[in-house]
Amino acid sequence: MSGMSGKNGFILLVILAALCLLPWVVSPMMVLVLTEALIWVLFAIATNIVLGYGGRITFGHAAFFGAGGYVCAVLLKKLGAGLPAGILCSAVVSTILGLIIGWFCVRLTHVYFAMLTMAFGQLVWAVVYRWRYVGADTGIIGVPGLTSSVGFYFLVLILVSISILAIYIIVHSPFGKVLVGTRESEVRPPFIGINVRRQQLVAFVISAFFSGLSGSLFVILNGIAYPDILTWVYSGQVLVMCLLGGMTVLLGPAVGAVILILLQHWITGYTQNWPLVLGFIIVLLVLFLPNGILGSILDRKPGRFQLPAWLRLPK
Amino acid sequence: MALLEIQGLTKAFGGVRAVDQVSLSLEERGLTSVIGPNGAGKTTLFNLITGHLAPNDGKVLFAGEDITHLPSYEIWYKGLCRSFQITSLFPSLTAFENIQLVQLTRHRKQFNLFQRATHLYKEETFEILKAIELEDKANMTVSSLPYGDQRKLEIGIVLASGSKMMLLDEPTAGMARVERLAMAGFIERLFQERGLSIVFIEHDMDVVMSISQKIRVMHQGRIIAEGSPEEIQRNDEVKRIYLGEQGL
Repeated sequence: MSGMSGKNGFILLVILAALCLLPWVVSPMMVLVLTEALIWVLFAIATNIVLGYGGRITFGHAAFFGAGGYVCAVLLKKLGAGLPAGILCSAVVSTILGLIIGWFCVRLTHVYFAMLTMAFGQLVWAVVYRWRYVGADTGIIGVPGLTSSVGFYFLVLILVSISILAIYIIVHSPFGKVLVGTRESEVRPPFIGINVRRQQLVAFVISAFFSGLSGSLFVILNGIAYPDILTWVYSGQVLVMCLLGGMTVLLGPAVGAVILILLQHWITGYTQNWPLVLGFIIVLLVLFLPNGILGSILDRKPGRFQLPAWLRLPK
Repeated sequence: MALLEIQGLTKAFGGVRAVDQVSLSLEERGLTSVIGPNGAGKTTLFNLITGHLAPNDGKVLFAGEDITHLPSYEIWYKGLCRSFQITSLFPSLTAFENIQLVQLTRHRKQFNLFQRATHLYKEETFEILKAIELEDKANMTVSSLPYGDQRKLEIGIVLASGSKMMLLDEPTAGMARVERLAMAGFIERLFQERGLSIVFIEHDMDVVMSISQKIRVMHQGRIIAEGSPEEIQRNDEVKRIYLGEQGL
């Protein structure tokens, strides 16, 4: 995996500089779209801690994204809290939710893990959908916080950048290496002293923290928290982003998120059939780019960072 | 006192007793082996000792401590390590990373989130790679290594664990006869250089006889004979159920 030094560091600095200048170049509408893309970038990279590094397919990460969003909405709209408190509490509550749900889920692997995460996700959705205090099926409308779209863009840019840096440090730490070990072999880890469940649980909780953070930003941006953001549709969308960009590279999911959000914005300008286009993208992706876009560009060395057999597609 | 003491260990799968009332004690420092025909219960015995399977009955004591119901990762920290008959490495990681991973857990770094891991324990890792003659291939991914090198890496992971006792499950599995003898010589050399305590499973008689100090013969879940290579070669029951089959 490429480091953050030398050529790659330079490329990242250029991208960051470009992101700082963009609000003055593009339309005000586009600033909002880019903000949304950045929020999805964080959500996708957070999800990929469990998916790409932990090797577990999660189908319920929208629960943490949505929970973060709802906590933020309640704090800002109903309790009159400030923006920093709202964002921080969202991440903390999602972390606790991640600990509870994760405690059960890490006992399973493969499709069972996917099913259980999805079940818990839908459970959270079902509760919120019936809960009057949080607006039941309509959600919480008119969440304050977005005063200046350019100002909020920069807030998101800073928070997302810091988060990605933190995740970068985490996945390159001994914790991250051992986590990859639990992905790479199902048999060996316990026999070199690894408590697989605990390793996976910590990864799950970290992932939930950043997912909750991104969820709160999403709700502030849109000014509304609605039950849909908790559903497996959102969990599925974030999985597609990870796959599209490449889940074997840290910034792969970021590439997937940006492409998908920009494409969605562009295509919904012409037609209502976005899901149809999305379907085509998934088909093409799975057939021709199983390592994702960034994954295919960066990981040319054969045998390096291949997906575990059960995640890989049959030839 | 024996380092590893097993008392009446029993494991049944359905009606079949894969391991049946096995008792044995193993001293510190020694190169011993467990032999027996396929299905004798050798690997199951290892699985029971290392917590991979839970026994129906019996006890495992390691350094005087009851480890029968401890999870595998805790048994490893007590100083008991094993290798696998079916190569169980980390396929998309490099040889270096495979060994380094063991160093990370050995130093209990698995929940260190902020240190950069890339160059941690480099020296220790290369020391092991050198011992298993893979230092030149440190940066090759496991999946691109030849089978023989993968088998050496299996041993390397056990070596890196720095355990008091090492259980090697058929280290020569899947190798041609010449390679088998080479591997046996390699294990013997490691044993002599490092003063290790090794128990290995093997079904090739030549390999066993050439390096074991003591041999235990398993048949249908039981240990039916125990002794030096010469004693085992003279044992009538062993000849009948085991050596006889191979025409020795």
